[in-house]
Amino acid sequence: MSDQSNITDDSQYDEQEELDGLIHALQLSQNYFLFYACCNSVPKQNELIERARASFSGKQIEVVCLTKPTNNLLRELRETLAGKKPDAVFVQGLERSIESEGEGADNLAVTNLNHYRDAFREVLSCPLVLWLPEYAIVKITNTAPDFFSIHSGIFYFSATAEKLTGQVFQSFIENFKEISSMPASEKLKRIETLEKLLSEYEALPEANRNRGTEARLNIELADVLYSISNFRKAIEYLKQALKISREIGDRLGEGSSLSNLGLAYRNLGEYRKAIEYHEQSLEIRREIGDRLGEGSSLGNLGNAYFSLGEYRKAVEYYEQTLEISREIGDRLGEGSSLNNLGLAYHSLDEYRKAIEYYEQSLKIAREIGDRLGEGSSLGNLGNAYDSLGEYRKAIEYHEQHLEISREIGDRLGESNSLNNLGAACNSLGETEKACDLWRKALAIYEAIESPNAKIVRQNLEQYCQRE
Amino acid sequence: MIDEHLRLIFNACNPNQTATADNYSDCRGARGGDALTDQIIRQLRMADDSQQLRFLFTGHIGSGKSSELVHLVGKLRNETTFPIYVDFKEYLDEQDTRLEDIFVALAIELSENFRERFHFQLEDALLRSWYETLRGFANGSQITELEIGLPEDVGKLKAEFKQNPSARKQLHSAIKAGNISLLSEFNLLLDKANLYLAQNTTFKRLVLIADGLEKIEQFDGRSRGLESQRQLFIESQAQLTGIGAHILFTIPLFLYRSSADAPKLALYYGNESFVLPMVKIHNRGNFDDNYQLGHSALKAILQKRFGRIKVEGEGFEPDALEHLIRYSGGNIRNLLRFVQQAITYTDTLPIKISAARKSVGKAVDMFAASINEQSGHYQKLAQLELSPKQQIVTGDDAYSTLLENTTIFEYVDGDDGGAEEGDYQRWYAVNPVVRRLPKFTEAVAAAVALKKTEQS
Repeated sequence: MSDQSNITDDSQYDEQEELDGLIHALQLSQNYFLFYACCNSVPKQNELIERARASFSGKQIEVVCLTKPTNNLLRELRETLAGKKPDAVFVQGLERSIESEGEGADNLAVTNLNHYRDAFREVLSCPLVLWLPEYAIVKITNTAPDFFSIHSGIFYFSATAEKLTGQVFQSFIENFKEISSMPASEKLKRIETLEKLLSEYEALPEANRNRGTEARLNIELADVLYSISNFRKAIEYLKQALKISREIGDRLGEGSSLSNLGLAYRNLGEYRKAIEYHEQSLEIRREIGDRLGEGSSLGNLGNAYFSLGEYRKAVEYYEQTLEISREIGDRLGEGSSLNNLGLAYHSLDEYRKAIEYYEQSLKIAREIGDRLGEGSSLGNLGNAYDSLGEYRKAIEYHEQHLEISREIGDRLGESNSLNNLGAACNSLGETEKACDLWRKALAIYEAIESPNAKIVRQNLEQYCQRE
Repeated sequence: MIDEHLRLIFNACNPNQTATADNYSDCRGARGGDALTDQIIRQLRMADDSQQLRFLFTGHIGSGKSSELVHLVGKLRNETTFPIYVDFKEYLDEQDTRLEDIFVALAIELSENFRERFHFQLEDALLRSWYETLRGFANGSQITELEIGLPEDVGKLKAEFKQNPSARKQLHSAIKAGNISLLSEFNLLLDKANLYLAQNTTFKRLVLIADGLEKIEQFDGRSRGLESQRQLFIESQAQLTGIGAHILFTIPLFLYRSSADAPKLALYYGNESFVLPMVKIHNRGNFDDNYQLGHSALKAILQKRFGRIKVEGEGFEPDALEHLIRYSGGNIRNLLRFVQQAITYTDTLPIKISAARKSVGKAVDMFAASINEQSGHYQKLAQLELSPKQQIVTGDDAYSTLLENTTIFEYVDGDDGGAEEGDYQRWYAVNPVVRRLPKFTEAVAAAVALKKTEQS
């Protein structure tokens, strides 16, 4: 047996299997035993608890929801359970007491858990399940290892499926940095200018027209449109540019157009179509030895596979991209690759690893003044902390992301950060605030035809009152 | 339907239950040979009438300290020293603990033990005055006539004392205001008890076994943790060592291993200290070199709890049992917890290797999240892993922390355990669960690389 077995294989927990394990534990317990259910999202906890109730048939589960911090759980339970004889007791919300207190040995809530550990047996004659986010359990292990050592089982539930709606990708668009980092008003002005230029150009007699310049104008216009998330219109101009590049045999331009078409389709949720375009552009770029372009195409393929949920495949592409960008000193590409590797690991539930990548990518974005990248990395750090259940920290990052998105007129980024802020608030039980944020996010998603709109609508339906 | 066998062993493997006489299992062979109980009993027998012995007892979380002490109490029943076992966990809470609390608890338990064992009520003015104070406070200062000497009085005092922290505070000030020496009063009570023993029973002396004092978080207004433990065992040593009976204290491992405090402890409490190591399941420096005696001891512990279900064969697939034992590192509580968690993934016996793997995987994940990278703990672990004799730097606070939270385990070689002459008998190993973490592996590789650079 090897000591170096792969930890990630062990940390992939099947939700149903974990829930079955928990129910099984409740059925086996003939007296007081302590269990932990690790789940970072409160709505997810609620869903699982309902399922547990249904499976623990004929038995009564008493759910104690702590809405305020308490430093004496035992006393709370004694009061709440007076005269009741449940078959199991679930406690939610204890993290409020754990986070509100000081660090280390001064955390009174945790200290008390330890002191009264034997008294729980006197108050409860049935199993007790503490539903907590991971960080709170870690705090217990570090502050009161003795108390932690006496549990009879721990069950992990991932909360990522519902939450990762507003992930912020960094796409691989060449020369995109200048455009995307512009203030919104500047972009609109630029669209106006470019459209005017292009229509003037098209009005020229055939002989006076430079097809190359025309293609370039189409691409530039598409870039700006893309940067304000008007993907449909961007696609129109890109198709025009592609046509011209093919006519005049401009292989470099053809590669760019194909690549940008792939990006636009991905943003509209048409992933298979996106993959086709990226594969075509990759082929051309390899043919003409365009290393920068090759890296972009690989990265964009990674993004597309990511969107299809094929994370391992995405990691493979991102690693190739990272290698190329380092080789040719492309800092922007390097930052994007790191960010996207972070995303892939995030989706594989390896949050700490994800955070490490995001932080590297954030550093590069700041170094090279890439505001879009900076925003993305911040938003993704927010998502990672959200997944770890550290919602306050998550909110801080999302707010920074929101600010940058608004500054540079990145509508997708703005709606993503609003959506993510909503999710974090919802997890903290601030439902009203969450709904307000989601409505704002939805308005933007609908305006830019983002597939994320569907997910936000679901959230609104599930958690919010109709307005 | 839940399999009855499964239910039986799940409930029998409670990690939060001190072993009883029925399921206690002797692991001395794998804990360095000499058992705590034998040594203490031997010394108690040899002590002459004027001598008062003091013992310190420490060890890892979950290593079985309380089980050993309960076992000792059972054995002492056949000796001439009468044991009073005080489980301080019952008395402690978040309140700042005072010396008064410790004496009150000792007095209550002494009185209760005498009543239960000898049906004798110690004539205890001290307890009575405390009870009056407590009751007076609890009933809004309406002191009613006390039914002196009735057995339930002590029970009431105990209940009031345990459940009413504000009453307890009142008692502190009453004791202070009374301006009496608590120690002298308590020793008076002890004298009465000893006199009764000598005149009416086969016992000659008392031994107080104070279990759980190491769990006091805050003592005498000091900051929590080390400062408080220092205040209790070192600054207040005159009170503790002045107690007129043989006495054993459990103390925290971090205090015992602290370079500043260890010599003082030895000075004040004599040299009678015991550290309960892990059950040794592999030989020093080689995790794959199984120490069979330790494996058998752990299997015996499980067998006691499994009852008529055979651990080997019926209970586990062979691989599954080996897996759990290996990753327990010889920590009995960990082993019991692993078994319980594995059962949650099991429908019918035997427990399979897949369930055992999942169970251990949980512990791996928890350590992955909780080890403090910023404090350089991985480097400390790597240093231990590479140390030729499996030693830690004594007095290094990082190691104290790592010992305290079971990231590192302590073992002792017995006479047959491969310790060469002049060798340290005591050695350490990284918790086998922690050894699975990639960060640990990386830290070891980095330490090896660093060594090579230094050499070249």
